[in-house]
Amino acid sequence: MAIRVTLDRMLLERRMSLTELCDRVGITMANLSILKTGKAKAIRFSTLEALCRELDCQPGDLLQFTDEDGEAED
Amino acid sequence: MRTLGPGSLASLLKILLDIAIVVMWGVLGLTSLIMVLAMVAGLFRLTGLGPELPEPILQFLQLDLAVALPMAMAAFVAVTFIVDRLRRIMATLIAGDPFVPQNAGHLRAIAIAIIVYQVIRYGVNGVVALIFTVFGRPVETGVSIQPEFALNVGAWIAVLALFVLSEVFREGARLRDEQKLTI
Repeated sequence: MAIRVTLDRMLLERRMSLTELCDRVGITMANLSILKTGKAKAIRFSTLEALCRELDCQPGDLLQFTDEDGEAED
Repeated sequence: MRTLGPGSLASLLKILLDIAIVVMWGVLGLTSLIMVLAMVAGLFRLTGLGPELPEPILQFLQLDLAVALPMAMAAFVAVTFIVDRLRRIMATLIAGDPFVPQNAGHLRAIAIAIIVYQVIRYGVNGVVALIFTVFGRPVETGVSIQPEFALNVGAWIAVLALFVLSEVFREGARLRDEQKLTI
């Protein structure tokens, strides 16, 4: 997939567990896992807003565009 | 009355279809048995081997019946197949989740079953007409077979409608999957 979700990196940087994030944003563990593993087909603005609020970041920090070879674009 | 979910119109239809499929299997079994008997009786008559069959049975197992039965069986097989697929669709309606990818396949399979049956019907009628033309009409009593080439417009419209519905269900299933994976 060309858009990669860098949720795992953000969690690591903030030393936050996935369970804790689930509780804070009010999303089920199953749904957040789908997002984290890159299986999600779309993300709602409300979800993105909640994630950015709790992780104190910008949407661009959570999403990354990669080319077909998997290299990140600047 | 609700149309989807447990205790709905869909579950009532499912019960009716469950009964229908049992009846259809029974009819199919009975027709197969009569067809085998007709074939055995025909073999006895042709070869002169085997026991002498009573006249009423021979009268019943006419040549006409041997031609009519495979056609009837084709119809029974098609109806049984369609009823079975409808049962599976109803099961998903009862579960409250009709937009599963399998339902698109079921509808397409029903359409193909109707096409196959129609083609078989035309084929059998064609063969019967050819036999009548070459050998003449049988004058003996028995089941009278009338070759006819009437186009069953309703069946062909149903086929087209089923193909369209199948695509509707396929699109529904795609949207459902997308919705499921939207976080």
